[in-house]
Amino acid sequence: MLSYIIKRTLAVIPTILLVSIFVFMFVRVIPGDPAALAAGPDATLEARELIREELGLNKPILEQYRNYIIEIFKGDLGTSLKTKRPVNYEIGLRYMNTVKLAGVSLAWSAIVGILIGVFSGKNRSKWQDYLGMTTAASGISIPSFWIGLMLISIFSVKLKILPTVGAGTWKHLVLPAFTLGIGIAAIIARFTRSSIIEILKEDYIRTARAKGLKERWVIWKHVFRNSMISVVTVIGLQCGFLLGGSVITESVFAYPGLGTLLIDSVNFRDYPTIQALILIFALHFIVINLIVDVLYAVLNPEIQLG
Amino acid sequence: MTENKAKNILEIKNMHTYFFTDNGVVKSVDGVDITLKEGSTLGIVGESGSGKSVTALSVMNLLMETKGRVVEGEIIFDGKDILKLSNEDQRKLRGGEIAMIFQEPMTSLNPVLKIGDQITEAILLHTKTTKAEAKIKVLDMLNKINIPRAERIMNEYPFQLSGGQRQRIMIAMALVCNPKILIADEPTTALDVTIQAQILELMKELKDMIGTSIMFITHDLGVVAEVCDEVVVMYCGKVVESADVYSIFENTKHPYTKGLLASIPKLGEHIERLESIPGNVPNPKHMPKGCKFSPRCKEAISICTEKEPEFFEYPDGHKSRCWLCKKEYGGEL
Amino acid sequence: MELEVKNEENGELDKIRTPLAQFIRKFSRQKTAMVALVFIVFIVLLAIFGSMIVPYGIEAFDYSAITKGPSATHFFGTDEFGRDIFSRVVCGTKISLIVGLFSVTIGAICGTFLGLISGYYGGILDSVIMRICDTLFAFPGIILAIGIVAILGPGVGNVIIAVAVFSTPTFARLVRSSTLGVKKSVFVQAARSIGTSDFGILIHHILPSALPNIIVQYTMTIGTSIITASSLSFLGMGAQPPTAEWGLMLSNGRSYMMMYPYIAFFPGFAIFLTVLSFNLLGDGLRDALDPKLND
Repeated sequence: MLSYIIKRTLAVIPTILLVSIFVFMFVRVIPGDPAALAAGPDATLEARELIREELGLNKPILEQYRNYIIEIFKGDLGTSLKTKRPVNYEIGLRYMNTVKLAGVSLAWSAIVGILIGVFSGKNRSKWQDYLGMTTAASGISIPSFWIGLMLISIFSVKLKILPTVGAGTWKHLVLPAFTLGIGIAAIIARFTRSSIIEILKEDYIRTARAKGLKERWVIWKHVFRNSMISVVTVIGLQCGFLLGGSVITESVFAYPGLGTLLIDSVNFRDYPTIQALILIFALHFIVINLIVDVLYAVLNPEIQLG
Repeated sequence: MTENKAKNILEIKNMHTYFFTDNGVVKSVDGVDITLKEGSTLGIVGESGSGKSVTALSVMNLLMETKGRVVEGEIIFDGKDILKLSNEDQRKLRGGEIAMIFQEPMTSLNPVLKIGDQITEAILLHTKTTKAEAKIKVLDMLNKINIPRAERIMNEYPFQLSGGQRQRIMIAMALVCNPKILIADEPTTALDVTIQAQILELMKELKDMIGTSIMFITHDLGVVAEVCDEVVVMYCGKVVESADVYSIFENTKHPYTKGLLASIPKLGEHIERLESIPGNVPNPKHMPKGCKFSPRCKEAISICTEKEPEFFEYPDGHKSRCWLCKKEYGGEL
Repeated sequence: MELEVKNEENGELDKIRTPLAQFIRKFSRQKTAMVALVFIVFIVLLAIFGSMIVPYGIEAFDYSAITKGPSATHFFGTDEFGRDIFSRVVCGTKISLIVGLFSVTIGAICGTFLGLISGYYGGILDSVIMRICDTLFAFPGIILAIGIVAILGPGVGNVIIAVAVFSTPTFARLVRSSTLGVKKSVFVQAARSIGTSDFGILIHHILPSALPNIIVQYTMTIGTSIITASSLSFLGMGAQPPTAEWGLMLSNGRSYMMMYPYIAFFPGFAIFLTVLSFNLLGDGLRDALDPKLND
C-alpha cells in the first residue's frame, strides 16, 4: 500500500507544476499592460514604472517564472496591490475562517447526503425514494446566492435569531454553512443512492439476506460498507465545489474568508493576490484529491493487501 | 420398494411464482408440488429457465430485489405454512433453519469484510453465543471442511481465496448453524471438475455428520446420480417427473427426462453425433397449447397438443406428467 | 419505428422496436422528466417571444411606483426604479438561455473533439491533452471562471467563454473514455479494413457510441452553466446594469432585502425553476438511455 501512496503522490507533481505555470501565465495573459492596469488610469509614468519594477515585469519571462517558483517555496506570495501588505498576511487573516466554514459545511452535508442517499436507495421507486430524489434535484438547482439571501431575510431580518453578516461565533456559521452545504448534500445523496442501488443487486447481498440478517444490518454493514468507497471519492470531488461555492456564499454573507478576498481582489485588479489565491485553491483541491485516493486504498482491501 | 416412513421436512404445494415485468407476466413457477423427506437429498433437475432456482428463492423469500412474487400455494415447514408468516418471521428461518448456497462463489462473498466476520455473523444472529464461542465454532467448522490454516483464513478477504475455497466457505457459512434444510443452487457448476468432486464429497460427509436434508438444484444428471436420493425434473415451471434416483435412471417415464439422459455422452460408446433434444425452450410469451414439451417431443400424440397432462402417479410413487403414462396405465389415478 | 418479423416457432408476428422508439417509449414513461420537458419548451418560447408579450418595458423607470409589492398590475412587484419585475424576469430568460446553451455547446464541441482525437490517436497527443485537462480540473469551476473573467473583463460574452472553458475538460474525459472503449471493437477494425478514413470512423462509428453520455452531460451542464453565469453576474463580473439578467437583479435586490425581499425572490426563483427543469430532464434522459437499468 505504501507504494500505492508514493505512486499517487508522484503522479500529482506534474499536475502541480502545470498548475503553477498556468497560474503564472494567467496574470501575464491580460490584454494590456498589467503594470498600467495595476497602477490605475491616473498613474504617472514613474508610478507605472515603479509598479513594473515591483512586479518584476521587466525581466525575461523564464527568469520571472524562476523567481516566482523560488518565492513560493520561500513562502512569499507577493504584496497586495490594494493594501500594500504581504499577501501571506491577508490570506493568513482569513484562512481559518474559510476552513471553518468549509469544514462545517462538508460535515453536515456528508452526513445528511449519505442518510438521504441510503434512505432513497434502499426504498427504490417507492415514495421515500421519490421524496429523497426530488429534494436532491432541488438541492442542486438552488442558486446559493438566492437561498442565502432568502435565509437572511427570514432568519436574520424577520426572526432576528441569527446574525446577518460577519464571523466570530458559531451563530455566524449556521446560515453560511447551510447555504454552502445544500448543493453538496444533494450531489452526495444522488450518488450514494445510485451506489446503494448498484450494490443491492450484487450476489453477496443475496448471500447476506440468505443468512437471515436483519435488513438494517444488511444495508449498513454489507451494502454501505461497499458503497463507502465510491462515496468517499465523490465527497472528495465535491470539495472543489466547496471551495468554489465558498466564494459566493462568503460574498452573500459578507463572511471574512478567502472567497471575499478573491472577489475584492478581482474588483480591485489586485493581481498578486488573485494569483496567490487561485494557486492556493488549486493546490488545496489537488491535495484533497490525493487524500481521497489514499483513503480509497485504505478502504479497499484489495489495494491494501494486494 | 421404499416405504415412505421418513417424515416430510418440507412440502411445497401448488406453488405459483410469477414475475411482473414491463413486458407482461412471466409464470416462472406454475403449480409445483415438491416434497423433501427428512435426512434425504432431493435433486431438482432442469434447464435454465425451468423455474428451479426461482423455486428455491421462493422458499427462502429472497425475491425482494426482483419483480417476482409467490401468488399462490403453500410451503409447509415445521408444521407451518411459511408463506403466511410475516417477513420478520421468515427472515428468522433463513440461515438458521433453512440455509442456501449459490452458484457463483466468486461473487457471493462480501469483498470488503473478512471471512471470519462473515461466518460468525450468522452464528451470532441465530444462536445465543458469545463472540469467543462463536469463533471456536467457526474454526471447528472450517476444519471440518478441510480448510488449512483456518486461523489465518479467518482474517483474510475473499479475493485472497480460490473459487473452490470460497465455495467451501459458503458451505461452512450455511451449515454453521446446523440448519434443518440446505438448499444448494448449482453449487458446483462454476467450479472445475476436480474441485466439483471434492465439494460433492464434502457435502455428503457433512450431511451425514449434521443430518441436514438437502435440496440440490442442478442441470447435471451426473451429479444427481452421485449425491441424490430422490429426483424431481422441472420443465417450463412445472414438475414433469419425480421419483427416487434409481427409478429415474433405470425406469425413466417422461420423454423430456429420457431426452436429457440420452444426450449425456457415455464412456465407451461409439457414436457419430451426440443426441440432443430438438427445438428450444419455449418463449414465455408464446407457450404452446397443451403439454409444454409437446413441440419437441418425439413420442407426442394428438392429445398432447390439446390438453395439458395431469401428474400421473404409479403405484411405486413414481410420478410423470405425460399422457403416455396414462395410456400405459390405462388411466390410473 | 416498429418492424414486424415473423416468429420462426409459431408463425406469429413479433414486433421489434428500433432503439429510437425504445428510447422514446422509456423516456415518456418518466413523468417528472416529461413535465420538465414541457416547462423547458415553455421557457424557450418565453425567451423567444417574451419581450413581445410583457406588459412593461424592461427599462421603463416609473418613479411613481417604486418598490411596490406584487399586485395585479405588477405581478412580481417593482424594483427601486419602478421597473416591473415580472417583465424583467421574463426578458431575463433570453439571456440566461443564450448563455447557458452557447457556453455548453462550445464546451461540448471542443471537449468532444479533444476527447475523440485524444482517445483515438493516443500517444503524446493524448498525454498532452489529458494533462491540460487535469490542470483545468484542479481548479474549482467557479474559481476558474472568475479567473478568466478577471483577465478578460466583465460582460456576458466573457462569461460564455469562461463557462465553455471549464466545461470542456469534462466532455473531453467523457468522450475519451468512450472512444477508448470502442476503438478496439470489431466493427471499427472492420471499417478500417475496408478503407474508411480515420475521420469517417470517428464520425460514423465512435461518436455515436459516446452520444448518449454526451447528451446527458450536456443537459446537466446547462444547469451548472446557468447558475455559474448568474453567480458571476451577482458578483458583478457578468452581465452589467441595466441588463435584465437574473443574477444581476438579485444583486440589486440585495440592498433591499430588509424591506422588499420580493425584488430578489422572483429572479432567483426563476433561476431555480429553469435549472431544476434541465436537471430533471437530464435525469430522465440518463435513465432512458442507460442500458443497465433494463430489468
